[in-house]
Amino acid sequence: MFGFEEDFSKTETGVLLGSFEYENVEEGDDEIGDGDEGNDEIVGSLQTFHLDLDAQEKEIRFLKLKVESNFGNEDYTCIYRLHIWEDLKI
Amino acid sequence: MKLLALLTLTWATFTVFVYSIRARIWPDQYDPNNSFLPSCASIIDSYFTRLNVSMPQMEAQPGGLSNTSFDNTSTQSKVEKLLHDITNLQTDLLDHYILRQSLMDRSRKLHDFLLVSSPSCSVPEPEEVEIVVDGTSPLSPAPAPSPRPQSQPQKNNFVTKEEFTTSIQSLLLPHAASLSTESTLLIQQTLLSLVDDEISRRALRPSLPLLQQINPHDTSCATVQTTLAEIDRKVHEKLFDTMSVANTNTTYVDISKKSQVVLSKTSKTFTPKKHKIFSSDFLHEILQMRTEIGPPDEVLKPSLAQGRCWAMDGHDGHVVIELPKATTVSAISLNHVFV
Repeated sequence: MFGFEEDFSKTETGVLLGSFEYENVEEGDDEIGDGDEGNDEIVGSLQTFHLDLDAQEKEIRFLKLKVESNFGNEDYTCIYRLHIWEDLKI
Repeated sequence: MKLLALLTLTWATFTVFVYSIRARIWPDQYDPNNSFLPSCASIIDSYFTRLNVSMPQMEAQPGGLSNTSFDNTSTQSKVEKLLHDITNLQTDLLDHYILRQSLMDRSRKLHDFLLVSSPSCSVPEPEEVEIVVDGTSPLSPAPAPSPRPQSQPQKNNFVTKEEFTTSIQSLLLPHAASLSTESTLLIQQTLLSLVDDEISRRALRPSLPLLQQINPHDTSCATVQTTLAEIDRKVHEKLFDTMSVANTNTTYVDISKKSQVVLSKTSKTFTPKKHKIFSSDFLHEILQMRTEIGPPDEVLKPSLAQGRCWAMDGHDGHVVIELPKATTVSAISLNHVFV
């Protein structure tokens, strides 16, 4: 997940906000989350990943979700729903 | 004689038919304490009785059918009517049975996965738990009048769709002032799907903490009330697109609905290749990708129905999203169709 400041059209590389793995729940794996991302909440099919707040020195306007692999499916990757969470207090 | 044979044949078919209904209604786990099934039994038995009474009358007059006062037409129409009745009965019973079973299943699973907490906690009786679903609510805080009077003995233990809806409405009554009718309907569906989701979630991962124990300092037992409160909270979250973060007082707001996909910066959408008929890819396509492939916008749309997704071409790619305003994004969630 990358964040971009005001103008995405400029050749801006973006800030890395976090990388994570969507757990394949269909396999009936009993583990909750993976060790690296202790903060994340993986609950069935809805899986929440916390982003790096320190990396967001400036507020971001664009988000880029970059998929690197899809459990071996080379043909296509289906993304059903992306929630973007903003802290109510900030 | 032909008519007698016809009638006997009808009777035989009919018997097989009725027995097949019985077999469908009584699966292996027949529960004598379940008052619903015996009531079905008595209804079917009454049909049997009526048949047994009328059929021997015909057989008692062998060969005399053509020239006796026996009214063939009326017998035949009688049989037809019974056949018609029993078809209706079958439909009704199966409807009730399926609904009842699904409710029973829900309540059992709720009991197993939600309410059985630490060994020191008293385990609620299944009947109490069923209240969550059945809505007779003597244990809930009950700000709403109970949908069924408590004093009335429950002769029919099965729950109709209406009763179920009423019970959910009573759960929602505390919010009634702030909600429109559409919202109430939405909540009803949401509540049902939440209960289902929660059950499937926990069925997959029995080691998940109980809802009430997400906060590790709270060791209190899960009760029907706390569970209802928890469901209540979830309904609220669903309605207002918020999410409370575990172990903190933080609340997140979902801004994805106000965001937009930047199509020009997003990678290609998958287009299915022309597959040979009967190849496994083709079948896969029929089964999995039957609906049209959605545009990247689907990523930000709430539907999780099978196929309502954006299919990105290949296994690596990206989607770029423009937020409604510059902000700090705390977290993202990904969701996938629940198989």
